[in-house]
Amino acid sequence: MFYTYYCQNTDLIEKVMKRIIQFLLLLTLPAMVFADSEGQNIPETLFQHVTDSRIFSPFPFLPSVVLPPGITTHMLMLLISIIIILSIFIPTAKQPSLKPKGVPMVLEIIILFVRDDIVYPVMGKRLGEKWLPFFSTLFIYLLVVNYIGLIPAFKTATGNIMVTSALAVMILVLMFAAGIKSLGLKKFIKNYYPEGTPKPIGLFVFLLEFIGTFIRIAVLSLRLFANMFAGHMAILSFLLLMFVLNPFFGFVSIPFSVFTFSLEVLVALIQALVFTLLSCIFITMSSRAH
Amino acid sequence: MNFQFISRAIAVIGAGLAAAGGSIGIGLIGARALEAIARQPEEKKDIRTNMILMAALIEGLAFFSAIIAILVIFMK
Repeated sequence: MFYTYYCQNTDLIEKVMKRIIQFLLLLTLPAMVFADSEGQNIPETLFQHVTDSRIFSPFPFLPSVVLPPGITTHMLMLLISIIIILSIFIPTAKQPSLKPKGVPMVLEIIILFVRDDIVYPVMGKRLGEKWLPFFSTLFIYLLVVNYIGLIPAFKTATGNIMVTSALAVMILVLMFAAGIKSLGLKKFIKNYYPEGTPKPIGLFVFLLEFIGTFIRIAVLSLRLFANMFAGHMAILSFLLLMFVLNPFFGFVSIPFSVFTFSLEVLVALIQALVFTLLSCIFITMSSRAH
Repeated sequence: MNFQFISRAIAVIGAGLAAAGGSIGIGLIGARALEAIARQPEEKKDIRTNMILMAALIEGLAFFSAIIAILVIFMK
């Protein structure tokens, strides 16, 4: 269904993308004119834009807002993304229809994509029905949080190692909970033990598998964090290149950053998909006896 | 020629090596995936999905060294 929708509206999508890229490349001309307002410290400015802070300054010419104690900008981004998701989904859920049009159709395409390409092939139909709401929530949450970071005023919340670690720890707890609930504690622990090997080697492999679970979770969080952090930093580096080079040659920074921006759009989707798919695989592996 | 300069230089070389390794890996995946699509054009969708999944997994490893290089350059 996703592909029929895509084939019908390819012209519109291509036209819109072309217009966006033309507009972004048109900013080359002002780039040659703008003086630098950041001054001489480029690395600090760069670092300040990608890390967490108490002060939220969307644009340099707007006054910056000092957030109340206990809230940082990335937490604000997560809150905004949750508000956006709720405001899109709650009116949709109130009027279900078999042939939706417009925004509900897009949501249905996304959820069908999660169901047919991520959850059902890995988990099977019976277990997949139970877990489908969780994985569709995770996928849409990651999509919105990743894409909000691309809007110039906002920051990427998943570019913070703590946010992705929190998500990965949640998946870890779910792995253990699903495994213990469906297998029982003894059988769940016996799951890590290989069959039919002598005892010392078996114990060693058991330890390796157990530690491997934690390593896989850490790698899961680190992959998402590294992709989002490095992508954002690449865009900002190319933009700040404008202030480093001569005033005339500063225009090369705009095509580079536009290209990296469009790559980042693709990477945000792929990383959300990979996180969801891998967490689905981990939970399945942990709740089946092998 | 102090220690910070040398460490930054070597970190940048390490990041470049990580990019090289990642590119070779993803290039191999792309080549085999295109070959598989050429052999069986009706499995295009599954092959494309798996190819993107493998590329994301391998690129994650290449990004680890990039993050370590960034940490070396931007921390004291």
